[in-house]
Amino acid sequence: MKSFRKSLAVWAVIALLAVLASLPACAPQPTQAPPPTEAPATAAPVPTSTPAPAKEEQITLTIWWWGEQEAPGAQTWLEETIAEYEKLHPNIKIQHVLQTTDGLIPAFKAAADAKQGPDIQYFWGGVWTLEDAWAGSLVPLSDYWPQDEINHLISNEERMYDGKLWGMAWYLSGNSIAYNKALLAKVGIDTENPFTTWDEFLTVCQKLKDAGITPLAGGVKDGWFGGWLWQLLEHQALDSADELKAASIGEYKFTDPKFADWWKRLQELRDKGYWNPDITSLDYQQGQDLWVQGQAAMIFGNDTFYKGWMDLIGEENFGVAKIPVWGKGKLAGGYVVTAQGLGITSWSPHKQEAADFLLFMHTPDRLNAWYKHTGVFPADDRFDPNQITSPIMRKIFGWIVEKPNPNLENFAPSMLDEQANFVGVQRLLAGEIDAEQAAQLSEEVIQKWRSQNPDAVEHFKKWLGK
Amino acid sequence: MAVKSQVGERVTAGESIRLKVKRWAWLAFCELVMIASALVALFPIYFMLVTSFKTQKEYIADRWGLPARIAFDNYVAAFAGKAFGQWFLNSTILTVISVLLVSLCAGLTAYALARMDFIGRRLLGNLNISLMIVPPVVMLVPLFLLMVELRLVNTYASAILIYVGLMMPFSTYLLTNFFKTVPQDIVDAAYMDGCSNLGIFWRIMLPLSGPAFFTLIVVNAMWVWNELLIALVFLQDNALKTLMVGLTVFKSRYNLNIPVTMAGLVVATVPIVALYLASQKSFIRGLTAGAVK
Amino acid sequence: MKYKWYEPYLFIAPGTLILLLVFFYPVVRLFRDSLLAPRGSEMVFVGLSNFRYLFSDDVFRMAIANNAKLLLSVPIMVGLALFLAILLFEQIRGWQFYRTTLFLPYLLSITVVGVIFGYMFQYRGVVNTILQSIGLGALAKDWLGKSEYALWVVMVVIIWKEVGFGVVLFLARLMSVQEELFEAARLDGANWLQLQWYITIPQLKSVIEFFTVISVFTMLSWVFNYIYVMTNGGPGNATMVTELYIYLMGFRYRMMHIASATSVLLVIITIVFILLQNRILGEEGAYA
Repeated sequence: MKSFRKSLAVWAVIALLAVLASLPACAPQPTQAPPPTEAPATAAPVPTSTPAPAKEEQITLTIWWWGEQEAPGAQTWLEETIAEYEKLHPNIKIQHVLQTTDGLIPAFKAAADAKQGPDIQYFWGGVWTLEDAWAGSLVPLSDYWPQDEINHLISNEERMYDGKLWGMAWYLSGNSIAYNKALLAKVGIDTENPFTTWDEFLTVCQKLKDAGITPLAGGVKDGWFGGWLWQLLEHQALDSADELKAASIGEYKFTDPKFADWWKRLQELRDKGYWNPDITSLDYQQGQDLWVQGQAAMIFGNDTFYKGWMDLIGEENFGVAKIPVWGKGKLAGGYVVTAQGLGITSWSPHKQEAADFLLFMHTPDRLNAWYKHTGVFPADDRFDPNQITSPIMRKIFGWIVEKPNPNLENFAPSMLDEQANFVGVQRLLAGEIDAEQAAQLSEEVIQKWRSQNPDAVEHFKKWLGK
Repeated sequence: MAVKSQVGERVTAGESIRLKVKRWAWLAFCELVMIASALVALFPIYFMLVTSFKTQKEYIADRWGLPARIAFDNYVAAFAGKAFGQWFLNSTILTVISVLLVSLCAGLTAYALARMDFIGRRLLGNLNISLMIVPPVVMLVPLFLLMVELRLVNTYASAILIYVGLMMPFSTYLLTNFFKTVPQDIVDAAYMDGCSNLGIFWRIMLPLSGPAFFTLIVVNAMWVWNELLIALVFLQDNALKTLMVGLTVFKSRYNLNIPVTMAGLVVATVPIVALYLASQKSFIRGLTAGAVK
Repeated sequence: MKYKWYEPYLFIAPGTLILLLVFFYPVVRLFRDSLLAPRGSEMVFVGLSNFRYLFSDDVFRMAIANNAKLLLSVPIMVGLALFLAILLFEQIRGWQFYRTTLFLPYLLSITVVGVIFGYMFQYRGVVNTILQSIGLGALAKDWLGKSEYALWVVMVVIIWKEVGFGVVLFLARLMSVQEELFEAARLDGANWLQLQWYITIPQLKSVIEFFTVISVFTMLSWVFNYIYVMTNGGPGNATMVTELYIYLMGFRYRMMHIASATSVLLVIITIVFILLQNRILGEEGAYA
């Protein structure tokens, strides 16, 4: 290897250029230069359709979505819905692209930067929708839908901002604990009502453990499960999701007992050895696999998976319970549920057509077909609960109607989730930190977020109604 | 030889046997170390191959034994669902186009650097070398913003452009060195016949540099085929994903069925190993080219 | 002159244009962007505030520390490659087979390697199964799930994959050393160690340097693939490295200004290493 000394001259030139280039930057500049009026000739054709010109009257709508992963059957339903809609509207063609879990958000952010991409995009609730609304990538659904249609949607409050509704609720996704009745019966536990309070839950875990059965299955290597655990254990300490928004903008600290105590519950489960010992080296799905194979008795589950699980282990073996209660907030004892949804992008040239297709998704016939294909509840009060044949799913639907609770992951910056909850849960379960240090981590992350995202802080304030 | 026989005379018979034993023990030691290293090197590959033929049940029961039978179910499963074939195609397209493009651009630049004189030649040459060590990740964010402005995100063009750029320094360096070794007489003779520089490049340099180009193509193709970071950022559209990005997705989609994932890995590995076997010598020569003056 | 003055420029035009686009524009823009931060829809000049943020961020410090730890594996890797090459040079039976075998891992893509090792090092993975079957069950660990092991496991995997390149490199050079040199040294009564120390290593000096430099830059800025596939920076941030940090800041948290500042630091660190390398190894003249 020889000299790079000469190249230093080159670096000096680069540094000089950079300094020069940064001088005009002292004055405010637009984030991005306006895109050139015409794309360079080298541009390969964009694979996702750009809508056809109006004069041909042929319109193509593109949907980027996610959901087959948690609601198997969704794709069949979507294709069926598209086919029916295209039959009714011969001039409209609809393309759908199923995104991956890790790719859903980056792909849309890239599309948003380029102001080109889907006409309809999939969004989780709350901040997952609103962050893009704030970035100007979405138009309000309420500008395109009649109010009486909007009134039928469930869980609209997640997507309300500035008096407008920024997306359409599609289907519901809720969380509870699923358990293997055979394993619980083995240690003499009531398989219909195993527990309600946290202490009862710990008793059940202990009995299982004493009998040599792993009480809880999970996998936190890919992070996501850490976010679930947080919202499931934490929500019961709060009176409303607004308290979390307030904490995000600094009105509370994440080291306050209200926001920090859930870490102690998690530590309890760790210290008593209730998790599968390899929880830190498995992805969530692999942890789930352990439970399905009967190698663990209980799992913090997502009800969109339940239909599939019942098929695998037999409905007679499958039980569900609400998250055990330890918190004293008004939310305690409810059923955490969120509506996954779709939104119309601000760059779509066919917003009205897109809104019309979304309306079609909520016709009663389509709603019932959705449940038939996926076993997941559609987010619409016109859905006919008589469709539900499984007693377990009936029970869950009852919980949803009775006391639906917000999913906290939708009401805090996603950075808190990924850098504090994902990371903190991994480290806590690996035995590297304790509850207090984990709470400290949350507080540090939220402070970092505030310091670097002043605009988002303002949006949170407005969202909170301040 | 005289020296050797002198040594032989000085060695007594006993010493000779001792030396032989010592030599034998030494060779045995070497052999043992090599066998151990080979086992370590091969085991993960063995693990991938064997697992790809097992059923999930077999895998759980026995993590590293041989499969009960050789069946290609897992391979069929890996290709089922058109995504895998699409990824494979995308990787092939990207590899072929960008490798051809960089060969051409680097070839032309190298020709000028090796056989012509112009103001800025030394600068360009030195620059080229200093660029070889710039980590690509550094350019990631600004390149992304640039591609956004050019409206090239999620197009083959963006990734190809970047791949060509990243491969340019090493390719130019390798070809420049090679072109310099072509005898001046041949070039002069061609000039006499009225050949232009472009003519010399096409008719003399290219044919004479066959081995160098071959090496370069193999090394570059392997790099593009295996590249992850750029593909991850610039080709996020499902229809454009490369095999390597796909495999990371594949892993999470099929992680319930590890044997199917392993089958996918085998399929992704075969083209590169085949390329290697077909070009073993020039391959190593190319990889070591940077070290040889 | 057998060509017009502008002809060389036509030859270098396509390549240079691409270099300008892919290297120069980004690096210049990087230095500028690292001094800006978004306020509303605008980018404003914030001086060194992005860098101040970086130095106050534990995650970033961890990333730098991890890259530094990874550098520790360079001497191990170079030493191991040298050792194996010298053994192979003894022309033991089947040496060509061993050479190909050791080189094989280098051919595999990092993604493939990462996925394989990811499974092998799981708690219920094959590594622990083997440990148990040979009576070393006590050594079975949650290799990638515990912060104290994860980075070292990654390091082992990197060495496993890259050492073969060094072996092939060294062996190629060794075989071009004149046999007389060894012969003469043996006659002078040099023992094996002396032989390596006085003949092999000096003869291999340039390739050893080359391999060392390549390895240093690998550990500094080419480990993204390994980390992304095997641990994604976890558990906690135990395997966070600079590259992943840039990727996450830029494309997950949408803090492009922080990503730019990190990139600038990485460029500076790279330059410092080049300077160090020149200082240590001395100047031997330029290529072009």
